[in-house]
Amino acid sequence: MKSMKPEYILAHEWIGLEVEVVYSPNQYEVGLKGIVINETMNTLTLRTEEGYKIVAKRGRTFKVRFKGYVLRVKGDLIAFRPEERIKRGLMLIKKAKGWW
Amino acid sequence: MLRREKRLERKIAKERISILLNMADKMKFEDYALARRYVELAKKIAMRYRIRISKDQKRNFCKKCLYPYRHDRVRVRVRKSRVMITCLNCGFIRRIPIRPIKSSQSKKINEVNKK
Repeated sequence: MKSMKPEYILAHEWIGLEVEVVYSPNQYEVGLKGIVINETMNTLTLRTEEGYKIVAKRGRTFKVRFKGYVLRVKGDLIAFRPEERIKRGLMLIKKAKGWW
Repeated sequence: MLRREKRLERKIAKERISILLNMADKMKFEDYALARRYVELAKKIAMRYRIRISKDQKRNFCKKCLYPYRHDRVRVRVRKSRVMITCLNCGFIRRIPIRPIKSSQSKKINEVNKK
């Protein structure tokens, strides 16, 4: 693991990370906790104690444990195809920092 | 115009591929379809960012159907100086040639063995 900056979470692999849903428009989803098992463009699949749960990315906020950091990530920022997210995620970081 | 940082992209892509292939290896006895999904994702990333999957990693899954090789879903035989691996999910036969070791290589191996 060489790329250490915490903002690279937008470009990095989510499968295998511990995730908790912090905010969601659906109140029954808040507090879901588990390990990410599968990822598509619009959803994450979590393995929780009650079984596999599919959570949409858009409109939710996630708490992630990534390389020693605990981060809150808005789901809208990672709503791309997993293989496309490296390019798009790094672009998002650049835009936010204002390097034109 | 925003510029892409291709070097950084490829570095992250390499890390992601190794993570995914390791996960596929771990998961293949628990959930076979999921392990295949990991290999599929790793391949997609490798194609998009032009990264080679190394020889050792390549031989851990079927080239055709992308299922990881598992001892109960695979037949291996050695014939006509090549290893033939038959995938029982799709029937694809992969042939890996065995070449005699070159003299320079064999010297190295001998040195290592002596140590």
